[in-house]
Amino acid sequence: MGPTDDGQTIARCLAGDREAFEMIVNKYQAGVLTLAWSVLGNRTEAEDAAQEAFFRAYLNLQYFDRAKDFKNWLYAIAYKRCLDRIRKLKTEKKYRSRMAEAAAPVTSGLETEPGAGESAVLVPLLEKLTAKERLALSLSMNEGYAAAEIAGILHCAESTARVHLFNAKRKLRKGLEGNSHV
Amino acid sequence: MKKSLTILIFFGLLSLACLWALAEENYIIESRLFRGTNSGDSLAQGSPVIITSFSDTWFVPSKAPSSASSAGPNSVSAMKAELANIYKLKTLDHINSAQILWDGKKESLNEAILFEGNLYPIHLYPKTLDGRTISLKIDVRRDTGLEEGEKILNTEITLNLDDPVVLGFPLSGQSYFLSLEVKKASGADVGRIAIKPGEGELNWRQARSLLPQPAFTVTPTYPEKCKKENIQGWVALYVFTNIEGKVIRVRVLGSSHPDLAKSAIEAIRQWTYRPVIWKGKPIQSEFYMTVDFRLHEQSPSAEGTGKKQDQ
Amino acid sequence: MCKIYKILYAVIPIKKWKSALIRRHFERCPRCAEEIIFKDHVVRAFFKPDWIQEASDQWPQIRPRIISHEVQFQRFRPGITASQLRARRWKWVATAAAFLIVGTTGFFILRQYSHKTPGPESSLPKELSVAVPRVQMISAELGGKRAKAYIYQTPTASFIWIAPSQETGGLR
Repeated sequence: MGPTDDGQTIARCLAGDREAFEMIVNKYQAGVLTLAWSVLGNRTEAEDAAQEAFFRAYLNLQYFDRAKDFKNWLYAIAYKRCLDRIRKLKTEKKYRSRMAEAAAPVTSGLETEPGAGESAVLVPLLEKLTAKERLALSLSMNEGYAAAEIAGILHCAESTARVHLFNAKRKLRKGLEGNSHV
Repeated sequence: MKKSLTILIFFGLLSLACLWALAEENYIIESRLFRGTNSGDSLAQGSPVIITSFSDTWFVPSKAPSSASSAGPNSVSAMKAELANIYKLKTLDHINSAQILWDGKKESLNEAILFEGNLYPIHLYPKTLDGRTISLKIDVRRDTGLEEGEKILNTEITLNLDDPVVLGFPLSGQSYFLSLEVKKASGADVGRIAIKPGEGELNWRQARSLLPQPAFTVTPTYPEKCKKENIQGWVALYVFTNIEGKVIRVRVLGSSHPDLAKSAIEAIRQWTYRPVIWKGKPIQSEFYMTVDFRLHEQSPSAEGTGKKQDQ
Repeated sequence: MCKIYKILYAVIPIKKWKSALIRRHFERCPRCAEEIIFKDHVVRAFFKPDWIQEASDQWPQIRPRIISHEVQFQRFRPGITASQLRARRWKWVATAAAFLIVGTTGFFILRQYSHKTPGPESSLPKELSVAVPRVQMISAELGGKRAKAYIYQTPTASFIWIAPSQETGGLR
């Protein structure tokens, strides 16, 4: 499905075909979940934020400018939802403790897989990044986004997005260097 | 959210600014001068033109300053009746009225009355003591050409707001009565100030509000047409003098009759003053002036202020 | 040289300038670029944990929400959240501003009227109110010499006759 397919699906949704929205959800849910996970660091929170993001997108479909990229628009909504959830959680400390909880099943689940040990190391390192830095890194790593596109989702200047990305990489690298497992 | 906060802060600051501006206390000091005799001499036998100059004023061009509060217990006619009754006067003339605006802070206010060829500078030094009591020092002199002038009256009193005090004193065989009342100026009053003294550093403002002493004066002639038609009235002017003391501009703020205004301007334009010396140098001055044209003052027993007045 | 850039980057607070530094040097300099390259697959593994593939069916949770929303509003009303939220915010700001203005104006009006109401004298019983002076004579001089003052009061005004000290009061 390409952008034109998105346009057709959106048109169908706006015409009243609610079930057509399922195609959009199926197409983008992995990306939205990854984004939410990178910001929130917790599976439950990420799923809630992703669902909320899709719901908001559905409600605001008629305001989407079809000349623009739907994925970026959706990701921007997802990011806002994540920020709302972070505000609700009040402090990043809660994020860390949740990250620690989340790390346990990940490490235990991935122990037999290559690179599992590294995940266990990365979790505390990612705590050192800010939400924006995590998101910038995730979008860069997973979506291959450049600074300009990341800026569109973070609603900031391109230079700011570049700085977030750079800082995220530096911090992560520094943390990895200090760790003998890597 | 940030935008909302910014707008809220803006409105908050705006309200505070309004509060601060409105919180300025403004007062009007109404002064009236009367002259009474037991001999029957009346003002009309002298010059019927009285010129009052003052530094700060509340003045509404559409209303005659001397006819302000023309009715009621504190009106000119009521006061005349009381004075005549208390002091058993045969004749009583109302010479002038002035409403001087006081901002609650200024330490001295100036008024000068010119009539019968004599100039009487009056200095008022008001101070608030508490919410309703004002301390007032009054200094009345006669201009003799010398700096100090002839001392006439120097007194210090305390009085309450809206409660007039009438100071009576003898001078040259006649009795003069200076009535003073301090009232609070409402926002509407303050807004009606015709001209505010010029902006600038505080000292300069104080200096400009000092009245220069007249060096050469010309009494306005009573227009014949007005005399015949029994037209009395007033002219309010704002006068500008240069550093040489010459009158360089006369602005008419209002008048009850155009012929009276014309006569007043023609005369005042010829005046010269001794300029005020500030920090060793002569300075420009600007001040208010009212010229009252009177034809006839009735005896105190009668009602009203005499012949028909043009409003 | 790289050290200088690193110091500059640490010190400069402006993101735009930091970004320029990144573009000019950190991304181009082989040594500095090396510092921000790491094992991508490690990061990818973290950022795309396996559970995301497992949690690939969000629609069953989203669909009921959409339906209940539509039922609540009886018909689909798009944009109810975005612009209405904005409008609500502005209404809140406007209400707060209106309260501020009304409060300030009311305060000013009350101050005005509080001055017009009679002073403390009126709250006293009649006998005591006389004791509060309407006027006080502090000093008096006539022609530069000390003078006497005679006060006579009526309900409307206080009349003070100032006479030279050798004379008696009054006109006759």
